Amino acid sequence: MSTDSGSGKPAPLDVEFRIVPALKQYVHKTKREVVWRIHGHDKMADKPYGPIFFSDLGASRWDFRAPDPHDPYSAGVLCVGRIFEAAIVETFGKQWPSVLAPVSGLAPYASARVLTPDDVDRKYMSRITVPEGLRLFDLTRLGAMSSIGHGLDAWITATKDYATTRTWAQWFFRCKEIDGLIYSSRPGGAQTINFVLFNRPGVSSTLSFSSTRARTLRQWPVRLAKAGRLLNFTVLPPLPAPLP
Amino acid sequence: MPVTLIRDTVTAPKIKVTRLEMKDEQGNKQVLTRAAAIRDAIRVMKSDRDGWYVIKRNGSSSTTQTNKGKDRTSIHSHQHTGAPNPKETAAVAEYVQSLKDAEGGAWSTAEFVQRAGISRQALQERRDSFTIVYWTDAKRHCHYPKWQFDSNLQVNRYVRDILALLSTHDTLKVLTTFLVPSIGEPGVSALRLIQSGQGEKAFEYVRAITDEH
Repeated sequence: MSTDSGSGKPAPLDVEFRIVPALKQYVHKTKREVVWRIHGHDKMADKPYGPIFFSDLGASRWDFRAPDPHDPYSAGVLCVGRIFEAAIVETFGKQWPSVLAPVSGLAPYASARVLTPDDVDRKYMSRITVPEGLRLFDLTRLGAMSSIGHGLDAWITATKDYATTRTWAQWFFRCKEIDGLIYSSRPGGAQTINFVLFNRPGVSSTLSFSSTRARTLRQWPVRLAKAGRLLNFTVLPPLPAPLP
Repeated sequence: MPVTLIRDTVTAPKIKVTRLEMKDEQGNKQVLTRAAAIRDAIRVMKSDRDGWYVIKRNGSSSTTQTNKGKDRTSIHSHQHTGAPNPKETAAVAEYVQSLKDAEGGAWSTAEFVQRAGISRQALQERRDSFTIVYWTDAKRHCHYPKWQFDSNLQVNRYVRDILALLSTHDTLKVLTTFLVPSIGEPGVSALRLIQSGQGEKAFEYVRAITDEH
């Protein structure tokens, strides 16, 4: 294991990640659990995307692009929150300002967290059931990151430098001894725990969700209000439609 | 949290709900009149076991009978029945105003029509086709942020491309997407990237966000 230190380093893709005995303590086996996922709206079809989608679009922290487009299992991650708030932070945290507290001289929009009407009317929140027995490497455990080495530290869960974080996702993904990761989104605090599930034959086929119609975030009013208080964001009311 | 699901008021056979008025925490009202939308909203309320809702009908102060004899029904999330917090309301107003005033403010429709020499009709077509940034005031008049234009009053190419990605009339979504310094660290706005010649980077950032499934 490397003893390199320092945040912001890309993953050592030329080195294989293995679950050596010292790392086995950080592999968490899931119990059957209901988790939360925000999914978007397909504008072309004018309907919600399905709640289960293993992304390799290169759109967020962990979804690196597939190195082999012909291999369906060479990439693809599904990020879910263990609590409602965790899913909110992971989806909207990246569009909130990097300065997270009001600062004198800054315009309110430069330092406040908001959701706009589109965010709550065109994003859906669904519950997904994770089965028992998935092996997730728990990055939230004390010592887990430092045991891996190679300069990995909590920076990876807080930064918006997604080009670098995705190299780490790819590095973990290649290890067939795990099915995903557990991490906490720093902007949401230690309680906002997320799972990153890897696209593997034994994972994607075991997930399930309620088949009832998807609910927009606005259709979870009580939870949304609670999340707003906990994460300190505001849902903006819409501006009026223009005069005809 | 107490859980109360009120069913009879909306499922009793002789009551046909033709209009639902819903209020959120800020007191914003949403009115549903389409039968399918009403049905969905009621289904959602019944299945939300964390929340509880009161459905008011005839006899309550917020309910009236239309002259066609149809019920008008108000549904309030019970948690949200209090008046909006004035402090929060003021903060939201200040936030929205800061978006409107950003980077030199905006031209009204009359001002822009005069400056650019285009018709109001053409301007409306631009709004409808998501090719110009605008926002509305309380009187529903449109305003056009100055920061989107070049010296010839043409909308910047990257602003146009990003508008096409967003394709929304949620004008607050558009303004926040351009103005909030959320890209990278310490945080720069899409508009700042465009202004500094990095429009491609701004476009890629917005594309990534809108691509999310």
